[in-house]
Amino acid sequence: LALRRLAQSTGGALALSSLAAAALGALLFVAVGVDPASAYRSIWTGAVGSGDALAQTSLRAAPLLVMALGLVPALRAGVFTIGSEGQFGVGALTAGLAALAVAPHMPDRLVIPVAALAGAAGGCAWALVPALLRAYLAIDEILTTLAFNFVAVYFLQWLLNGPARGKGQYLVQTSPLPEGTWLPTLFGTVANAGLVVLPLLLVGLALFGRSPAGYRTRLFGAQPSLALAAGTHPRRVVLWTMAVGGAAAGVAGWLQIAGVDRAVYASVFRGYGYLALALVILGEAKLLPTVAGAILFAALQNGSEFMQLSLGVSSDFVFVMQGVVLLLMSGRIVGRRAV
Amino acid sequence: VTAVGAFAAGVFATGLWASGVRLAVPTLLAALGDVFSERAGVLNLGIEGMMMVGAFSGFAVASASGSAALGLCAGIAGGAALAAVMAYGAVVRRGNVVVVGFALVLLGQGLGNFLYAQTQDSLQTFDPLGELRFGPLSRIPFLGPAVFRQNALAYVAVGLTVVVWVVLRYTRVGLEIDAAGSDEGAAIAKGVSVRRVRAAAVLAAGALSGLGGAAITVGAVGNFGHNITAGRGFVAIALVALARRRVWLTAAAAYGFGLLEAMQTRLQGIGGIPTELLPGLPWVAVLAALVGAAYLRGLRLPRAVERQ
Repeated sequence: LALRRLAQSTGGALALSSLAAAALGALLFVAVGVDPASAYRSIWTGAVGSGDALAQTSLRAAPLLVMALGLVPALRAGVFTIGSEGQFGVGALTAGLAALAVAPHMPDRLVIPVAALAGAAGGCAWALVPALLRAYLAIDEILTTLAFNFVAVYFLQWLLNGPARGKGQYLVQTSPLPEGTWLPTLFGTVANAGLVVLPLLLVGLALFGRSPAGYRTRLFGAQPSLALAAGTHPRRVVLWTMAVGGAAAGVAGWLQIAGVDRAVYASVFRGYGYLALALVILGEAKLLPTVAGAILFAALQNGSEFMQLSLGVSSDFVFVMQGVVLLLMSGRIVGRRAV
Repeated sequence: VTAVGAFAAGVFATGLWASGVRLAVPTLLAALGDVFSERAGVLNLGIEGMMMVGAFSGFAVASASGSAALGLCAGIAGGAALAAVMAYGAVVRRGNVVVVGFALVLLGQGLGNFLYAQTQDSLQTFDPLGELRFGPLSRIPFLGPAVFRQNALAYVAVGLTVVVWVVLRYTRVGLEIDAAGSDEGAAIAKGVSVRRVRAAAVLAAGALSGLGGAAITVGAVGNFGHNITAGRGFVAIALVALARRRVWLTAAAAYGFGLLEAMQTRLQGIGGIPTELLPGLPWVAVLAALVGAAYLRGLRLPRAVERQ
C-alpha cells in the first residue's frame, strides 16, 4: 500500500520504475553471461562515482535539460512538438557556423554569446515552420516536426560533407572551433560555464508558471474553449510556445558544440531531443520531476559508457534501461494530449 | 550537364531497378504493418524498434538453427513480442502513444544492439536467401532481373500486400479496424471492441515489422550490424502518411523509396549530385502532401478550436 502511494507521486514512480528497470536489466546481464553486480558497480562509478564522473554527467545532462525545460510551455498548452531533435541539430549548426564566421573579427569572449544567440535563432527558425503550418493551416504538428527532424539530419549530412566541411577534416564535420571560443571549464573539471543557462531557465519557468500568461497557457491546454472566452489567441499560443521550445533546443545544440564537441559533426544527433520530450511528458510538464529524470538519464548514459570501457560490456544497455523506465512511467499518463 | 547525364544513365541501368525492388522489401513489410496500426487509430512510432528486434531475433535463430525459414518466423515473433508491449502500454493501459512508441524504439534498438554486441562471437554469419529464377522470364531485358530474379521474400511481400488489401477492404476485421480508427464512439456503439481491434492491429504491425527486420538480416545480409535497420521504421511511417494509409499507394511509395536508396549508392561520387539529401526526399514529400491537403480542404481554424 505504501508502494502504491509512492507510485502516485511522479518522483516516486520514477524511482520505482528505475528499480524495476534495473531488476530487468540484471536478468538481461545474467542472460548474456555478465555479472550484474560488477556491471552495475561500474555504471555507478562512471555516473556519479567521482568528481570527474559527475562533471561528465553534467555535460550530458545540460543539453537534455535545456531542451526538456524549453518544451514545458508547449506541453502545458497541449502543443505536441516532437521536433527538438532537428532543432537541436540546426541550432548546433548555426551556432558553430556563426562562431567560425565571426571568430576572426571579434574578441573570443564575445564570440561565445554570439554563437549562443545564433543557436537559439537556428533552433527557433526550424521550429517556426511547423508552428506556422499548425497555426495557419491546421496541420498536425506531430508528423511535420518528425519530418523536420529527418530533413535536418540529411541536410546537415550534406552541408557538412560539402560546402561546410572543414578543410582537411577526416570526419564529416566543420573546422574545429578556435580554442578561445570554447565554453570555459569549471573547477578544473570538464564541466563548463554553459551550466549557468540552467538556473536562468528554471527561474524563468518558475516565474512564468505563476504569471497570468502562464495560467492562460495551461488553461489553453486544459480547456481551449474557456481560454478562448478569456481572450487567448490560439495561434499566438502555438507560435510562441513552439518558438520557445525551438530556441531552447537550439541553445542545447550550442551547449553541445561549444562545450563538448568543439566542432559541428554530422553525428551531432544523439536522440536527446526525443528523450527530452519523453521526460517532460512523464514529468507531467512539472519542473522538478523533469530535472530529476534528465539527470538520471544522463547519469545512466555516462555510466554505461564507462562500463563499456572498463568491462567491455556494450553501452547499448543504457537504451534498454531508458526504454523500460519510459514504458513503466507511461502507464501513468492517460490519453494522447494529457499534459 | 554531366551530372544530369550521369543521373539519366543511372536511372536507366537495369541493375538499379532490380536492386530498387530488393531494397524496398523491408520497408514495404514494415509499412504494411504500420497501415494496420494507423488505420486502427494508433500512431505507431515504435516500428523502428520492432524492426530491430525482428532483425536480431531472425538473425540469431537463423544463425543457430541454420534455417532461414525458422529465422524469419523468429523475426515475426520478435516484432510481435515488442508490439505486445505497445498494445498493453498504449491500448490497454492507454499510455501516451508518443512516449510508448519512442520508448519501444529505445528498447528495440537497445536490445538488438546490446544482444548482438554480447553474442556476436558465438553467432555465425550465413548466406542470405538466394534469388529465385523463373527460367527464361528472368532473362527478359530490364524487366527480368527486377521482377523475376528476386529472393522469395520479395514475392512474399507482394503476396502480403494483396492479403492486407483484401483483409482491410473485404473482411469484417478490416471494417472494424477502420471503424476503430475513424470514429471510436460510433464503433463502440456498433458493438466493436475498439480495444481488442486496436491491440490486434498493433500486433499485426509488430509481426510485419519484425518480418521486415528479418528481411534485412536473414533475407539480404546474412549478418547483423549496429542499428542495421537504419531508420527504415521511421521511413515506413512517412510512406504510410504519404499514401494516406492506402495499401497500394503505400506499396508504390515503398518501391519508390527502394529505388531512391538504390540510386543513392549508385550516384555516390558522381560530381554535383547531393546524394546525402536523397533519403530526406520522402519526408519532404510528406510535408508537401500535408500542405497540399491542407490547402485543398481550405483554411480552417487551428485544431484545438475545431475540436470543441
